[in-house]
Amino acid sequence: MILTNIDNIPGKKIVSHYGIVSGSTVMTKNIIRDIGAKIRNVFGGEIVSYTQLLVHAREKATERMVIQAAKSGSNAIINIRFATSSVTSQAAEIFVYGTAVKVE
Amino acid sequence: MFVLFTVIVLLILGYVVGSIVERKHYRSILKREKEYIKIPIINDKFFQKYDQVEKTEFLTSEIAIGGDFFKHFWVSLRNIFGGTVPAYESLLNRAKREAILTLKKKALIDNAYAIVNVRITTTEISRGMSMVIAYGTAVYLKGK
Repeated sequence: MILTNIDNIPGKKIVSHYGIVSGSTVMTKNIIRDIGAKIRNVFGGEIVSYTQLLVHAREKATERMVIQAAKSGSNAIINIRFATSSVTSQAAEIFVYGTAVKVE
Repeated sequence: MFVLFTVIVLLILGYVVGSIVERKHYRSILKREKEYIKIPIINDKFFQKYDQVEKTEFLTSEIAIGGDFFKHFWVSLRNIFGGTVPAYESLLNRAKREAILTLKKKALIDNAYAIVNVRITTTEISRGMSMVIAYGTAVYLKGK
């Protein structure tokens, strides 16, 4: 599966479109990480435990999108975009979407 | 009385440690920005050398960042009168530059020629904490 966020794949020709595919995860933190982050929020700086959580959430969302695309028989996803929003004060959503295509 | 004392201690701690952390982060950002200057970031889809491209790779980077107690206190005061909030501006500025640098670092592992169509998105995860996701397509030229 080739992923890009540009509207073509250089050196390859798009032969058919399969429409939009998407994946999303809503992530929330466990209490221990929460406390750690709250302490970090007093002193400032990068919150490493949340960054790891974000990496995991993004991977999961992308994986869901790829599975959906693979089911339709496509072999690439172009024009990928991420959208994020906070659902409540404790949870955030990562939404990823793109166009499934077949390339040769 | 005890609450007031705790708040004052946290304010001082937040201010001192927070500004040290921020200054240190900015120093490291400036250093790495010089280091990675050879790889261009383009936030456009158009790229002159598409005919020479061998392969592309989708890259993402993410970071969660938090402010310090002093900043949060200062912002709540600032909220009364309105106006820009430089304390949070520097926070988000650092987060975005860090995300771009992580993107560049990933691209340099395999010596990419450039990163095209870079997009950045930000969301608040909880009070005073933000997450930044940066993503783009790394392009590799033939014979490089």
